[in-house]
Amino acid sequence: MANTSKDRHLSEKVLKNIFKIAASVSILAIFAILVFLLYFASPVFSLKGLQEVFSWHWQPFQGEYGILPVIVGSICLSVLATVIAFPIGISVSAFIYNLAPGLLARIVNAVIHFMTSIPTIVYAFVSAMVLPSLIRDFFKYGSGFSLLAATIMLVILILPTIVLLINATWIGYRKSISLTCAALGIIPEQEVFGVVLPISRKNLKIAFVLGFARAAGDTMIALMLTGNAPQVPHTVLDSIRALTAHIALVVAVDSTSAAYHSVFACGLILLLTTALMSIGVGYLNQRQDKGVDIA
Amino acid sequence: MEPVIKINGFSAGFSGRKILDNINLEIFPGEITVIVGHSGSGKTTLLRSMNRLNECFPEYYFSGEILMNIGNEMVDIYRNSIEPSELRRRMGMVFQTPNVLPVSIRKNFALPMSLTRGSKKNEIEEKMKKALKDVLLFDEVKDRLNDSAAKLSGGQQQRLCLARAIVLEPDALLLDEPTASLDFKASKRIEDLLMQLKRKYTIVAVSHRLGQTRRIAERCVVVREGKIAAILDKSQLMEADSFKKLVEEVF
Repeated sequence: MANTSKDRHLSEKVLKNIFKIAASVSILAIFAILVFLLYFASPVFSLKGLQEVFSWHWQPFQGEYGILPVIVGSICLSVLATVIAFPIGISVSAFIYNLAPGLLARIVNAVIHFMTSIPTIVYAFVSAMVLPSLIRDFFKYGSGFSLLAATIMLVILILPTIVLLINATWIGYRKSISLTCAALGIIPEQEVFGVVLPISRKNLKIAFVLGFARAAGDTMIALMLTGNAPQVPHTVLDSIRALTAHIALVVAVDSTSAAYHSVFACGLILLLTTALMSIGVGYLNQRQDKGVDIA
Repeated sequence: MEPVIKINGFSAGFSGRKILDNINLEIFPGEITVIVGHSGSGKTTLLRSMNRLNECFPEYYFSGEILMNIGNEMVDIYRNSIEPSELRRRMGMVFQTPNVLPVSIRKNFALPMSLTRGSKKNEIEEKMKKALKDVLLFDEVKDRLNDSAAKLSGGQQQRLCLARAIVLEPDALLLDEPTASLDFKASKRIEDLLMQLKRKYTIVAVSHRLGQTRRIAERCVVVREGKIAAILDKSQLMEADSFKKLVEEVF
């Protein structure tokens, strides 16, 4: 008996240390990436360098390395995709939660799980063959490789991330509050939109941020569907270039010029954007936990 | 006295397994009817038959009828004459384990009231305070209505659940072992409360505690293997011999 307890104590201690090491390595890796990006982007951190990088023209052969159109393109793409995917994600989650008949809910759930396993290149490749020509023919404008084409595919790409994150919380609610709601005379539609949705605000924020991070961080769809024109779009039918695609395009052909250093600034911006959003959500959720903003 | 609930030849079960077998029972207004029996005898299924909550579980089946007095008319609650949601609102239910919603005390009232009754802010505040006073909880929580309901003690949470059922203006209260998870002091408090509430509501409760049954019940229904084995009135409950028989029956 004493030995069993001692063994359990030892295995708990070993596991605890393994988790501690894993957490420390993860934090160190993120910190190392940050230092790495700062080091390689350092040539940009001078008044002249900053003026060059934060300008509106990307014409490397004329010595202009402005990444502002790329930043704008990235923001438009990831914000648009997240803003469209998020309400769809909530609707799909509600459908799975209690609005669909059992079998249909299970099928939709299985499809969403399957979608997470499809490699991004498959989405990008298939859609690059089909979507731009459809957009071009329908709108009779441009090449079809556009903000719209990339947004449509990014919505499909980030949808499972959003749905699975929302469902992870809602599955628990189904067990704990569904019977309570039914006993109070609350119908399933009211339960999901009137009770579950407001009380899961914290997790919805997390799902939104992670969906946004996935959209902002995707490279293949941005590379193969946007048209890669470093310009500020005026309509969703215009071509754009996203930060991720920009990094991939520059690094593929260059490793010495000022253009090469500017891509580290792009990486830094991507990392800081998602980090700041995560910190922001963490802060808001902490306020909620303290009861400042309890649901 | 006319019954408010009349159960005629009612049988029910799940996945082909019969739980209730030909139940015939009348529930009278202004009384506390307590259902007692072994674990698995069908007490909770019988209670949940009265607000159609069994239908929330898979493969439920039933036969027979349950009539309920709604607007001075005996209505068969299983024959589409009333929506299950409206029926459940009229039959306020409190579970064995306190089931507060994971929100503030105030929102535990506001959410069901606005969703089922379309109540507005002022009405919610007014009725919430009254219901909290009815269950003798108002003084304990009046300064922390925006705090999480989960922070309350077990007894306070159970009284909150009772107040939440009351605030929806039910016709009857269905209580599934409401004091099972509480200590003696908290149980006593709920018992006292039920004695006051029976003046306003018809109460049907499931209980495991025979001492409690003896204290609060006007009528005691003994359920054994899904059938009604006996119905005892207050005088029979108070009589030593019949109470001894009841103890032997249940334990």
